[in-house]
Amino acid sequence: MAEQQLKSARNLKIFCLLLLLLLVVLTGRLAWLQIIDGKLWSDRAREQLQETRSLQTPRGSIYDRNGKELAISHMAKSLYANPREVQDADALAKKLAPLLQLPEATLRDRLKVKGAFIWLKRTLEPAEYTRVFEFIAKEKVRGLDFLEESRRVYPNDQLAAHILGFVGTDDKGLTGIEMGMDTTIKGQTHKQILDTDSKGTPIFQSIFAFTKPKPGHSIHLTIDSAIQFAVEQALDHSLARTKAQAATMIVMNPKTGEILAMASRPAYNPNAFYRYSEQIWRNRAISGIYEPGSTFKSLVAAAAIHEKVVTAKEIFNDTGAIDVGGRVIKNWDGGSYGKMPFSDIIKYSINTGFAEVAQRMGGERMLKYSEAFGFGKPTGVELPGEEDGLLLSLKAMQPSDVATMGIGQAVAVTPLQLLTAVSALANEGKLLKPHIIKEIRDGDGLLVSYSAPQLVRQVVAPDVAQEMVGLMEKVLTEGGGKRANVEGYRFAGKTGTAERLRDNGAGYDPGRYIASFVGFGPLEDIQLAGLVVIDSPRGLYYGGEIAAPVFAEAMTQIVRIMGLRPSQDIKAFQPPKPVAPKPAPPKPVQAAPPAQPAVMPPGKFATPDVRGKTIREAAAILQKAGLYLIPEGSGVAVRQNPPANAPVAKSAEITVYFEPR
Amino acid sequence: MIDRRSFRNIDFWMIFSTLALVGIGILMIGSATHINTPSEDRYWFVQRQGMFAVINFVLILVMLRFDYRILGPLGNLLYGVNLLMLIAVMFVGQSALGAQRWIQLGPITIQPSEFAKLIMIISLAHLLDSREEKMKSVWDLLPVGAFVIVPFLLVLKQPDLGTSLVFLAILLGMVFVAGIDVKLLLKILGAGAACMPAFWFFLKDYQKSRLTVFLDPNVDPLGAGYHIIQSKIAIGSGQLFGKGLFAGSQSQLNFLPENHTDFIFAVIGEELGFIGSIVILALYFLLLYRGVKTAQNARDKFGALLAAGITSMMAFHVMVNIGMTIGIMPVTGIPLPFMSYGVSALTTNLISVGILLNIQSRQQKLMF
Repeated sequence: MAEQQLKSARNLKIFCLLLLLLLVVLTGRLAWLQIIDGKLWSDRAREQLQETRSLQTPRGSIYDRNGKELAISHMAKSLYANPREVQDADALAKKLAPLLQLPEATLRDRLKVKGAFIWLKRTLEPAEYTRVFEFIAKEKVRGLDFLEESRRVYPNDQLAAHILGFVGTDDKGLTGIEMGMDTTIKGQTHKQILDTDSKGTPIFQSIFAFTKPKPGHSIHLTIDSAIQFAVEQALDHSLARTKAQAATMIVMNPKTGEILAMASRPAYNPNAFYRYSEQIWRNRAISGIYEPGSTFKSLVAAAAIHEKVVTAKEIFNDTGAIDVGGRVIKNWDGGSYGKMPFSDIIKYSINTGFAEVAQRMGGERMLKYSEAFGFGKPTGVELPGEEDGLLLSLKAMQPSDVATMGIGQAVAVTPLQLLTAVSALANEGKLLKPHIIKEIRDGDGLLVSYSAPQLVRQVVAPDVAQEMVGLMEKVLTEGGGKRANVEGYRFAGKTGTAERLRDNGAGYDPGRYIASFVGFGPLEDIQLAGLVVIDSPRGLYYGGEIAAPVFAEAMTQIVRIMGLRPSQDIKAFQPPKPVAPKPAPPKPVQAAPPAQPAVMPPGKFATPDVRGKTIREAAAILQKAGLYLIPEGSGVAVRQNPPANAPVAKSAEITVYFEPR
Repeated sequence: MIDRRSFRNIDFWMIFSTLALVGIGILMIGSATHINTPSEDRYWFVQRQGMFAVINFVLILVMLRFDYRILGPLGNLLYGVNLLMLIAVMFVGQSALGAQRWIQLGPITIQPSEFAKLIMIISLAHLLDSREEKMKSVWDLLPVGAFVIVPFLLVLKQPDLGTSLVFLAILLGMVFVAGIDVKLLLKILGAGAACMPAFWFFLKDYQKSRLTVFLDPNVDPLGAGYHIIQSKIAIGSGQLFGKGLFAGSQSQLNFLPENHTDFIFAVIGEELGFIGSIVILALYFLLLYRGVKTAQNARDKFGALLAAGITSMMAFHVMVNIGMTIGIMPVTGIPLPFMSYGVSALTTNLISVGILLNIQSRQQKLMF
């Protein structure tokens, strides 16, 4: 008994030692794994955890000149599968096909792909998402999941569709600004190292996720969506009246080259671009070439007066027809007008007179001025797919071609080329490069670049351009463009009617015409130039009857939208008398507002106060005021130059100093 | 009322280490399960483990009222019940993960083999207690061996190699503490080792593959070796300070299978690092050391054997489980006491601690 107890006690001690040995062995092994080999195992953990996958950041938005959203990216759900986890691909494909409205075979193939990730359908409609989500929840489907992806949305549907274009799959812009500026606004493709779980499913919303990337640059167009809307409305009305095949209108500011509106019919909804034919996607304003007809005469006249081959007062004798190199050129109505000065030749758009003037100019000078006005090559506007137009070479020119060019034939132009050229007349003979992008901002709202007016060349002398403005005003007041008049405002312009070129450019389409009108105003301070082109109207087809009213309708709206002052010297127009100001209520003494000059110098306004704002907020405030932000430092704005409430002119640069909070 | 004396002599260190291990265990179960459990019952495992921990602590307090010595006479009865339960599993048990180990009893599923270990200890302590002075030869030990071999085979049949090996560990520990001659013990162990190749033929295929991958996990890195490799990656990548609670990529992202049960220590190693692992090891050592002390100080031989059996069981569990997660023991599927999720195991272990406390509180000391 005693011996047994002794052994027992000894064995307990051995037992204790064995426990200690166990502790030492385990500790040693842990130290080996975690400290000596720790880095090695960490690398292995990372290796199996991470997967490189390319991710798109959201595509940058497109705004109009006032910051209204024209194209935005919002997050939508995309459905993907992890084929490794899918249990019965055939059965699943069969059930999913009606939910996603995709062919069963396509789904089956995707579900059987080797790997851990494949898209089944990108950017689902909300209803589709709900259906699939409920299906997954109800049937406890494994291997399907959703991912947030950016989806392009055009909130105004077809408004400005041809300018904006649209985006195909994988964030690729296919036409319009979306295509032209694709590399700028495209969400960056990030080769991102993603954390995934053991099934290869990416972990997006967890502590393992990387921070979400910033959106791409945003584009701010020169387009004013209110003006764009007025233009599109006018086109729709016109199409309803004339049953024309197509129509285009462009409005620009001739002093800056900014395009304020650009629209074509037929149009499409970029949110569902795939439902329309490619012909409808085409932006006719920059790619639809046509013979400008009489609208071109304004340029011929300007060139001829500049070259002093003719003066406004020179008397022409119109016989109703003129034979040039075997080709007879008649007036539009076949009648003859007898003796009249050149100014009336313009007013009544007399073909014989212009054929005569063109012949005096000769082919070489006609071509030289055509090129000087920008014909024969793209204007360089920031839109893809711009056409050159057609300009004959000097060698290929017959004598008859010189004369017909004088009346706007034997030359083919795009609407934008013609409007740009005519705008030079409204801008003291200075041809500006048209532009449609006002500025580009980065993901934080900071200015990256902005477009200033860009002079291409002085085409005709300022006094010649001035004289042309006067002559063209007569077209509206006394000549063939009366229906283009904008009540209360002085506008100038020129009508045009041309036979329609065949789509392949070889010869004319019999019985089909292109009616157009180009004009600008208000003449006291010209801010608007517009061109209307109506393709193949039914019934009436003269520019003065078909296109001029569209111009008038749109411009009447636009001058109101822009708040332009009506002309003083129009007697018929009586501006409402301003109501006599009421005596100002006595002001409380204490509540003195921050020092703001009571009267701002003309053209100036008070600088907004951005102190205390973040860079993004400050940029938004200044942008709204039409000012540019030059940020210094980061954090919260503490100082600004010019200071708050100081008088400042539009487009001024405001330096704002930021300091960390 | 609970006997005041039992509180005066209560083993504070044992209670402390037990509470610490159970508490940290629940935390780690939370870390291992909250991400991969549907959100509405994200903390289902935590709540269940916590609830059973509380119930069992209350049970321990109640148990302290009764003298552990009442268990002795029940030894044979408990042994019989044990055999019946294990046989019942073969017929009405539920299968999971390729083994038939569970019985459904109303709302709870119990794993009789967990309780079988404790019952084994009680009945074996009673047997050895009654066989004093009979520890000299192999023949003396034969009846003892036969006593253990029956439940051993029943558990092995489930199949549950891990638990059946625990029976052997208990047997070994208890005869050792009963005072067996060390030379005799070594002879028996040597003979057992010699029989190992024969034993191999009785193993199931998956058990064989577990043993081969233990020797070289890279034989089958996505199959049988997967657990070992992932567990080693988890623990190794924890390095000195760990990745932080709830932030272990291995355990949170499903790389580590069974991370709330058998591989809970890998979660600890990954998230709490070497420092945390050492703290856990120290807590286990403290508990086991107090277990040995309990055996030394027990007022009678039955109590000493009981304490030795319980301590052997826990020590074996700790050794095999932690050893498995760090790649120095084969994968056998036995849980880590107090920390692995599993209410049957938790209950068994806490009742065991209750018995140890009971023995300790009734140790023979001079009372004034």
